[in-house]
Amino acid sequence: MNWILLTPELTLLLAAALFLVLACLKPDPRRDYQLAVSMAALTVAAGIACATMSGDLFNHVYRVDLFSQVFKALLSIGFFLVIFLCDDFQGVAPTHHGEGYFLLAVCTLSMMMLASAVHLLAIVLALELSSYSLYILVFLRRDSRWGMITGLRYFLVGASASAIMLFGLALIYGVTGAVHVDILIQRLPAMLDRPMVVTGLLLTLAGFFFKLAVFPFHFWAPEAYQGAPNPVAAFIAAVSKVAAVAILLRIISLAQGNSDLLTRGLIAMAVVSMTVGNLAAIAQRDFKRLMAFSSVAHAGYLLLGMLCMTPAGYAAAMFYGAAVLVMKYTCFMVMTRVAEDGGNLQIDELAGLHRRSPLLALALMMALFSLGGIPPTIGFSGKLIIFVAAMQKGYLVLVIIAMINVVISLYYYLLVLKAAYLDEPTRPRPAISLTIPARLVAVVMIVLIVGLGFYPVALLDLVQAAVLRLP
Amino acid sequence: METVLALLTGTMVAGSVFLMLGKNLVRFIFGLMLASNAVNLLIFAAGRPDTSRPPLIPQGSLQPVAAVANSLPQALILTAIVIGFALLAFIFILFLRAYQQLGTVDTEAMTNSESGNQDTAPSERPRP
Amino acid sequence: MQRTESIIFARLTALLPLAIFAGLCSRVPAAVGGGAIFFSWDWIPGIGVNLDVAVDGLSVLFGLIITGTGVFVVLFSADYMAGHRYYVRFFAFLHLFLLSMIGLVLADNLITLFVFWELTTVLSYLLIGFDNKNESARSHARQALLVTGAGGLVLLIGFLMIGGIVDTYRISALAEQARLLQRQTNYLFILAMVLIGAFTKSAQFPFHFWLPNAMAAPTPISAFLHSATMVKAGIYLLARFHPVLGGTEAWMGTLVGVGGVTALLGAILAVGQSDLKRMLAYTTIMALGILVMFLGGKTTPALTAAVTFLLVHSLYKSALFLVVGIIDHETGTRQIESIGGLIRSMPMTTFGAATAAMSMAGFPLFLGFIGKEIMYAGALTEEMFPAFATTAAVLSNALMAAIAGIIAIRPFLGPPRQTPRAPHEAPIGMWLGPATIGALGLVFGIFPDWVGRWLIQPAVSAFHPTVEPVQLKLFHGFNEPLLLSFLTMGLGLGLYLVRRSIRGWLADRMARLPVTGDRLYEMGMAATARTAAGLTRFIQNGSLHRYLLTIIGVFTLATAGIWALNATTRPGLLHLPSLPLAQWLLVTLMAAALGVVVVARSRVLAVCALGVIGSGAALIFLVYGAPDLALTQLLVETLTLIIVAIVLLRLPSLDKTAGLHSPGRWFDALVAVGVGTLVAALTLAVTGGPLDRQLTDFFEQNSAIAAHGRNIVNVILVDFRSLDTLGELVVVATAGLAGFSLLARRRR
Repeated sequence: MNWILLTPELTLLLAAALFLVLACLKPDPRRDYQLAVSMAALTVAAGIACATMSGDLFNHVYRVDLFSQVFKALLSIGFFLVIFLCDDFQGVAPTHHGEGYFLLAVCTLSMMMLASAVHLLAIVLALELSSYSLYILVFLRRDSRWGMITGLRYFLVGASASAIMLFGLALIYGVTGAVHVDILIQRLPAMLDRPMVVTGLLLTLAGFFFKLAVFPFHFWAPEAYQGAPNPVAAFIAAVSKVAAVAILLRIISLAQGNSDLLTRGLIAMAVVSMTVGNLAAIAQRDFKRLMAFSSVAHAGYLLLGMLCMTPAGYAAAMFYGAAVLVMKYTCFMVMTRVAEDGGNLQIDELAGLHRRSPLLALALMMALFSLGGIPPTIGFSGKLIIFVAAMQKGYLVLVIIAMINVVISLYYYLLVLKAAYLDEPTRPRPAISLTIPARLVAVVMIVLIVGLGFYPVALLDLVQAAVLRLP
Repeated sequence: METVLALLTGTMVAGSVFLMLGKNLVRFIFGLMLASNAVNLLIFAAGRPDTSRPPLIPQGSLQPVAAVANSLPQALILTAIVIGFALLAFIFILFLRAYQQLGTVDTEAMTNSESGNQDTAPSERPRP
Repeated sequence: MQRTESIIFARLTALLPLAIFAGLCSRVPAAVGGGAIFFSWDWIPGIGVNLDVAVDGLSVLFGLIITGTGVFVVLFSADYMAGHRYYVRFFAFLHLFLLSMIGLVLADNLITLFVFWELTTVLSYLLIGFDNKNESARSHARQALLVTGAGGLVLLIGFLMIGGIVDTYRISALAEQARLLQRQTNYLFILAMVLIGAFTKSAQFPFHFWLPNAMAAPTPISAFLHSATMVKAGIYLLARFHPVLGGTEAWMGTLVGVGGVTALLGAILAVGQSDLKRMLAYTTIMALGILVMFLGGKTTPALTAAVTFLLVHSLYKSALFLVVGIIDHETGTRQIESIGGLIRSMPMTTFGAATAAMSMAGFPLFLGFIGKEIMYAGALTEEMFPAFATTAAVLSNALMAAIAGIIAIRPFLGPPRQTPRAPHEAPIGMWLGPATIGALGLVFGIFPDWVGRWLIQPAVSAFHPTVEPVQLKLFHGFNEPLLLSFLTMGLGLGLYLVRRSIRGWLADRMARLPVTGDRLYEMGMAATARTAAGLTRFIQNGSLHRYLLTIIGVFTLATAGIWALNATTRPGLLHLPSLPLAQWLLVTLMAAALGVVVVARSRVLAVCALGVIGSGAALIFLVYGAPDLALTQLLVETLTLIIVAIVLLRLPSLDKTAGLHSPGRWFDALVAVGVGTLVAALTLAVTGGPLDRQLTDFFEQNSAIAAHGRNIVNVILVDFRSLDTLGELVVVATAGLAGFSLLARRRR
């Protein structure tokens, strides 16, 4: 077995072990943070260095190829960014910082495994592991009553999703006699007109829909975002979506583009997710809740790319997954910096941001424009690629519905933007001071949002090559 | 046997759903325990249990001599049982803590009452 | 001192538009020859989106207007915005806008065009909201962005559809495909998408309301964006798409109808205003209406009229806006009734105002006169509704003449009035623009054939390959257009004389209008917000019970739907197998225990019953050849029950929640039975079919040979699926750690 292939995972495992030791030592937030950032940086290096490796491990249960490695690189970058944000880990008591880092590392590790796993059981395991770390991360909230309630409800919805997924897996196994993706790929296409197979696939997808917060599995999102410490909310909103995209692509691609029934089911979920997410977001006053519903809507856009079941559609979804990582992270980065004492942030508390910190205001503006699909941002190019892929499949009505949704979403993104850029605060607030690295990250995010809007080709080529590894 | 197992699983799922909808954490636990048992039985049924011979290879032979029970679902279920147990143990502690913290096992009472109703229409802009 | 330096620096930035202007001028001779040049850079080649650029007569004309007014607007703003808190930001936005606008008119790719289209919208948002002390400026910025941004997205739908049909996004390649596009069954839909995009941007009825509201912007911005350039983007689009989608009855009817109505509405509303800037805004709407109306035609005179009037309007309107900006800046008010006699204190401004107004009113010798003549000629040749078009043109022009009078005569002549600030002439940077542009209207009016040959003709032929050359002359002889001109002058004069009573009457009427676009927008927004809030309260109501019910409901219905739609086999009667009595007993016992769990009021009883079910499952495993499973199950069951027992002692009793104590519980029961039935049915269906045992066979064949193990299950777990087992351990460990962490927190 070639252990080199596992470098990113092993790095994370090492990081997790270190964090675990930290959790047992006397808490020292500064030392913990510095160590965490260094380990996260190491993970990014490992993730990127291994981006082009390929091979099969553990008796073909674990596949390392361009598809999984690109996702791992994205995950490690997201992990680093979130850890980086933890210099303001005020939502968590200092004694729990070590645990927090540990759980973030374990969660990222399990999501990497999710990207590589090609055996249904391994997939379930990785999924459960990542879910459990997230539940506990939500519990870590210093205001424990909040964390407790939201974490508990998060867990209860998650448990039902897992149950439905297991049931779906049992059905798939019962029909095909297979639990390995490679064998499923051989056997499924001939059976796709059988309602049992479609039911099994749809129920299996439930577990991943939960991660992506697709209707009707989105209920946890607003509460969990609101209840979680801010960097954790950023992690759920930005990083965990990347893993969800990876595994959804893996499973949906099993149908190999010729399942009418499955497509219809996905279409329904995509449309409902977009619409419910966007409409509900309008009614929000809390920044994180608004972002949660916007995530639900974005899950709809992502599904739109996936349900094309063409390489173009998969590449579009993958591209948009990367876009979501960048956009959502930027929003939460701004939110974390602006919120006082690691608390939650009401939208009108953003007032005067452009004076308190022009850089953060600019970052927020670009991120919101990007979420709203206004060019030239990564969100625009991502949506465009998705829409073009859907048009190629002839889903005109779907594209129109998505467009209408984009218009609706503009309404509330502009509300936020208006608060940040145009409104004046009711009482004067001090300027927000940022450390040099924090400034640097903000600048990098702006550059990424605009740069990938203007020049998406590099990333697009990469994801197009990556999805070719799918059947 | 599959027919009977199917009916039994269905009944167990029905009971578990009913319990989970019961707005009470204790009942929710019971529901989850039932569900995990039901899923195990379901996987077992999906493997078509038709023989009572365990999947063992006798000494001196490289393959089973007669038809033995399907080994694959058994392996799956073994994993599922262990995970289910880990999950349940975690849930118990979780629920206990929740009860101690919040003083109730009524899931409907566990809302963020202090944050008020979040979902209100934003005030529209003043007329020019 | 610093202030002066920054003003000088700001003025210097006018060199940027000036350079582009010069560059475009050098393209004029080539454009006259009908030549267009193309550049192309790869952008997202994978989906056919490239940075294609085409420079032809139409883009040159638009580009010259944009950069020409741009130079003066920058000069003007340097003084007008002096001392503003975000002086630098303002100029950055302004120049970015200018560049996007240039990009828009040069783009030869639908998607690229769309990108610039939305960029202008965004920058317009930032520029309108610039005066952000003012709440109305902020909301109006948002309104403008929402209306035009949404229109842009609608446009994108149209573009994507066109791209899907003709398989290219090159605009210059579309004209050849016009017949193909117009034969499509969804031609009308594509047309509607493109038109909505153009109409929202160019403030056509019923989307016109955002434009007057956008007047909250600083005046140079209004002059530049909301009269000369951005609102003309829709016009540009219509001209570009004229050879592609135009010429059909739907095109002509819609454009003439909407344009005419917009023109009349704009003109009428303009007279009712007392704020100079809002008045100009409504005349802009009117002008845009006229432009749209003429683009609805397909004859050379109609299209020439459109292009000519485009130039005329851009010149006089930007000049007048700048004049209003000067008045506002120097006197502190723009209320028409409170200013007068400014000619004494601001001669140069008066010159600019007078020349621009005369062009607007269509006095002979001014470019506006030429524009009006050709307009009437065009209106008479309209294919659809020529009478309506002519009437609309005459009425609008008459109103325009009256308004020109109001703007140019009232504030400058007559006795001086008390104003918030004592009026004095503006700095040269400010009056230079209106004076030059105003004078240009006169120069162009005197040499119309020159304008016609170098500017108008190339622009028209770029989207309308004419057979007949465009003729712009000072005097066409006595004909119908000239008669109509006289009629217009007379009407205009009459209207000017009765302006006060008309304004009062109109203002009164307008206040009582039951439906206006603005109000519809407000109502739409409020309704959306209410719907959203209601929907959210309904779906996301905070009740976990509701969430679970929704999840279960959706999946049950989806599964049932899949089967109802695609059931190939009818369910037959159940064949209960002949099982040994002991097994029947076991199953019955488990079912009974299940009943106990569901209805038990006592925790202990429920736990015991759960134990029975778990052990029953273990027995089933044992009977059907899975002793390992049975053993594990028993072990885990025992452990679980111990933990349950410990935990339950600390949790409250179940008394009140047992059984079917309320109608809601009956419903839950119904759902539960439904789900159970579905699960049973699915399991039956699965197990009814054959199982592919290939994989199992593989393990049976190989476990002894490859892994030297005789217990196949164990071999699978520790050899073939070792990763899963490893992961399983991690899960257990994590759960343990997590539980420990939770318990530990309590102790602290």
